[in-house]
Amino acid sequence: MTNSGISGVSGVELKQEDFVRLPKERNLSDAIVRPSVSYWSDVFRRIRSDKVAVMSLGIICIISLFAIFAPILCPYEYETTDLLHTNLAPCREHWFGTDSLGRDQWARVWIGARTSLLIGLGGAIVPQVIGIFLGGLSGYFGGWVDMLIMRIIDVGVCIPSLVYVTLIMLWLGSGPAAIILAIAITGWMDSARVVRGRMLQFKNREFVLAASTQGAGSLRIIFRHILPNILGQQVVSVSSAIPGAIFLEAYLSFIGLGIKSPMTSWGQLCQVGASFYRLYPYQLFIPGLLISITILAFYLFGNCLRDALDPHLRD
Amino acid sequence: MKKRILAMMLAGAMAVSLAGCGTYQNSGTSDTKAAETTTAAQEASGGETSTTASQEAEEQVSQDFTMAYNGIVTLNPIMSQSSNDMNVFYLTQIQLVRYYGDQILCDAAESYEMSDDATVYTFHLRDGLKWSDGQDLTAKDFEYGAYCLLNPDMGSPAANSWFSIKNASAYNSKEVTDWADVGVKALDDRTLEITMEHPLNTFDKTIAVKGFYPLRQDFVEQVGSDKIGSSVDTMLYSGPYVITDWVLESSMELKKNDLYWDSENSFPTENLHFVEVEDANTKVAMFESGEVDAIEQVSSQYFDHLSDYLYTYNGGGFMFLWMNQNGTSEEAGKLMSNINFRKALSYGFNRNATVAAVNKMKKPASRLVDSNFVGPNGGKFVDEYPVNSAPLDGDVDAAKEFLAKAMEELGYTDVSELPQLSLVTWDAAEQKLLLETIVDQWKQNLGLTNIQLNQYVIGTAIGTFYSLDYDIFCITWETDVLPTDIMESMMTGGECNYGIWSNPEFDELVKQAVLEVDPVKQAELTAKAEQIFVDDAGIVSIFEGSNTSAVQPYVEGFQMSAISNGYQFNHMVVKK
Amino acid sequence: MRQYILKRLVISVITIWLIATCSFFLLHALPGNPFATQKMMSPEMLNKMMSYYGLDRPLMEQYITFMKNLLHGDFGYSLKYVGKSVNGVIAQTFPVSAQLGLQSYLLSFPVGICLGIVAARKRGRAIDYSLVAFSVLGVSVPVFILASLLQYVFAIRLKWLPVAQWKSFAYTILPTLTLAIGSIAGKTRTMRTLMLEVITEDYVKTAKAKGLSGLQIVWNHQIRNAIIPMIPSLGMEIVSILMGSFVVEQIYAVPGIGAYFVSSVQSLDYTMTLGLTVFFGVFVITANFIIDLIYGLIDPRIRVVK
Repeated sequence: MTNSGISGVSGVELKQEDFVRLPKERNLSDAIVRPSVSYWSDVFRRIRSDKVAVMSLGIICIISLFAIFAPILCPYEYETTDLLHTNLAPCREHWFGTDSLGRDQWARVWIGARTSLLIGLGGAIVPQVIGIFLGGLSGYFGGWVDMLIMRIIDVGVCIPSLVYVTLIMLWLGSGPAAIILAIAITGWMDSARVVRGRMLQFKNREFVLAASTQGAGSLRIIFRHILPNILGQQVVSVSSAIPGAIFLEAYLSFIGLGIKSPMTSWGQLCQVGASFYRLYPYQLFIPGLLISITILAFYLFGNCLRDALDPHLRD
Repeated sequence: MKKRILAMMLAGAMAVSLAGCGTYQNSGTSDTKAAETTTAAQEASGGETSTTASQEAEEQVSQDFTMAYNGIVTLNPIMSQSSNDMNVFYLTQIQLVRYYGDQILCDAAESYEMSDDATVYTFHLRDGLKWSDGQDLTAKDFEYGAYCLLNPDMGSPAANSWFSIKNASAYNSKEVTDWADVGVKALDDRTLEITMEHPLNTFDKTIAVKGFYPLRQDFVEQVGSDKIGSSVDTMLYSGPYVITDWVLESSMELKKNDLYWDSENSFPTENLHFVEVEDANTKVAMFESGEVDAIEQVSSQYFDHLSDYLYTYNGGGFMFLWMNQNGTSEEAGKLMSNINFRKALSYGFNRNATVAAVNKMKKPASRLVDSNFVGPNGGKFVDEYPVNSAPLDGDVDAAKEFLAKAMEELGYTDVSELPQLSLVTWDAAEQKLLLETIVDQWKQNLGLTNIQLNQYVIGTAIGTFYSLDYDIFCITWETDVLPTDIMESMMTGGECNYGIWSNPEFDELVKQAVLEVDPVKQAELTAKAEQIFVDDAGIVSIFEGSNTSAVQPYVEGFQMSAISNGYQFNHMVVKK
Repeated sequence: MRQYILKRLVISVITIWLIATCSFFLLHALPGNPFATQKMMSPEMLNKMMSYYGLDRPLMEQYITFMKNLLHGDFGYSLKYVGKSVNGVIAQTFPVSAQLGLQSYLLSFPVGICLGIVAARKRGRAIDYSLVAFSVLGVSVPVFILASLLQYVFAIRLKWLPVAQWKSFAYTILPTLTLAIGSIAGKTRTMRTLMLEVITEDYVKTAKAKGLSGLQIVWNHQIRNAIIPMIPSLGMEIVSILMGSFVVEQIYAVPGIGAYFVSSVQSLDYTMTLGLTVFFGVFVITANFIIDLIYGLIDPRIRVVK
């Protein structure tokens, strides 16, 4: 069939029978289109096929399961002190040893995991969402909106966070909600700034111009056209903000504002462990290792998510 | 200024004359024994020290001593509030009399006497005392120092330490405006007369403990009274050392002051280098690497690790649980006002085990008199006059009974119905651990789950103490020169009562004890008052304070004490 | 342009006023008092201290006094460090923190950028994975652990460097390194991400098609575009670096400004906190102003001026 054209050129005569009508379906396979897949389902498809993503998600799930069930299954309470068995090394009864008041570290580590995962995720996502929203508005509209939001950030950044964090803690008590709120109030400004910068970079690009000449509204342009370009970077920011949030909580407890004792968190365990690290290194390394594994898992997952979200990398 | 206790109660015979304390002798009964063996606290005994200078010339003696110290905030004794400052003032300022261990040494005063009625003290100053700028130091300078302390316009937080002086309190609150009416007079350049408000036979101890430092008027006026002591150049020195460099929150350099009257026979080390290190691990690491010869305030987790180097003294104050009978809510107030509930709390935890877990150098206590006080019969006051208080191991059965009684009285049937109580603390690691274990013991032993540990920044936390916005608070109160001093401040309306506890019987006994001159009778009254205090469980002690340093073995004569603040390096030699 | 600068200047002054005002009232809204954080006092003494420092007067009156002094550039005297002026404390501690910050920045910026570029260009290879692992570790290990570990290894075990204090260059190495490692890790990560975005851009393809060498493309086309999004956070970064790190300063006993910031808020030292805040504010705003100007110059697609 392909030869026919060439033979035609060389002067061989062609008849009607030489041509065969192809079925319609085969014709379609030549088209340069694939089944129409929406942006989001494509994202999910790509994550599913990525081994690293699946593995890191698995680790996150396992740690979450431990955080939910390990304290329930453990014979010791996380808050029960035992002054006769302080600073034990890991042994059969106390799998992770005991702390300086004889509390079982296994129970404390997994109770701490609950707090830290909650604060880590909440503290990373909430400020990011606020930041994307306000930074996006600021960058896209410019003018007085930009001026206003940027000056609010200027003022907010300069007021010592310790002051309003303390106020929030007094107002809401020192539970996870108060800490997430505190982290959100301090954290949104940075991501708003970054998003604004990206917005400025994209809003004069050709595809935005194209969209607006086709009559797309501001919101549509922001969410359909610019946001996907920015989102990848921000997802990485979220995954890198998780350790930040976990340790901000530790830092807060370091200066007396963290989770209220006897409740604990990984950051707090690490911080207490750090003051004992030369004498009882396992009190630092066990929670430290768990934090590192979790953070690595979140980061790798975030990275895969970034690739999955990036419109440039759509295949 | 930190209040310190006096080891000896006065014998009656001492009431006549106190002159002639010039020579240095160490009684050997130092209270500064470390729990483990330590450096030469006792080695610095009298005979040896008078000849140190010549002997040690042959040995390897270093003229430099480096220590990680508790940083200070001002060089101005008038504005100082902290015992850390006092430690340094011991080295930089002259005193009329000063403590070395439990001995009172004459410093600026060559001799002094007290009038028979114990109302007038006359101090005779040595000849040729000098300020660090070479000018003469006279009795006038001591008077001016007192003037600055008591002048309300200077805002000294230490003024109330001196209210036993005639008209001092009135002058400080502007009821008396003429300085001439206040009982501090320089009769001539070398004679200082101090008149008391009431008969007081222990005022020399007060001076030795709390300072009474001189200041020179022309210098203060030249620098400006609000800037005095804010830097090295805005302070004059009169003590054994002068400060050559001071970086706030960082370091301090001291050099021996050759103009000090006793510079030949005391304070043999030429240069002192103090560094301020906040972090507990860093401090220990610097000690181990030899960057410093001594560290102050060793963190409790390192006690076992550094057991061969520790230097500890106990006393000087108590860690108390303050039970606010007003409560944060009406219901909480009712509960806290119930004596049986308070006793349940006091009996319901094990002080020995708590201290062993949190800081084993502390001395568990459930009473009010410091174990350092000497009783009228020469033994320890606490041994001569035992009180019936909560056992140091706790007594869970008794505590349960108290709790049951309290609940019955208040009409509760189950512990879960009890109102929420707020126990306030701040970000001090050791204190937090202490309270975590106590709260948990209450929970385990008594089933109390209603006590919440609330942690704030220090300024806010202590603010709640003043505004009575707590149910239970935990903080140290420092003891004073006499056992009755702390009791006086615990009285209704007393300086550390804050309106949370009142017992008229206690008030009456303390008033009598303060005015009593016979030591045995005074001790009896004191013990009676103490029993009432303990029985009422309005303010409950947990342990006695302590201060633990680590010192390298080549440092001899390192001394600090519970009786009086100060780096008492009078005979410290670094044989490196 | 001149009009824009003038407008920004006016707004900057208003912003600083807002910072001072908000901080003032927020700080005074905190319950508690600045005294007695060292030793307990009697209520009577406390009242005397409050009135000596004018803290018993109505809040508005205190605010007016504070603003008046501020106009003269006078931050007043610390309530905790008796007789120390806030200006004096800044003059003493800021240079230390600034030196530490600049040293670590000079180390971390080039190293971080280079590592990020390498990781992006070798994407998916072993070197990329090891750099990613490093950057994750660097970001995930908190400063207080990193500082302790470095101190343990290099000062206590190997005895190469002093444990703490701030005397000569040798003393600055460990704190600088501690600050730099976290910052290098962060930059590597950000730069890698940004480079990956830039690599697929059309102008890079064009450059390739023109036959430019790999290095030329990286230098002329990729780095410039990848760095741009990092600029807006640069201002904050420089400022936070100059203003010191509480944890590093505490662990290495560095006499910097960071420790003051924390301890003055904790002990409610109003004058010190407000003084440091306003100083910090002026710094941030100036830095942001300059960066906004530079931002427009570097990237022609962005016009801050309308």
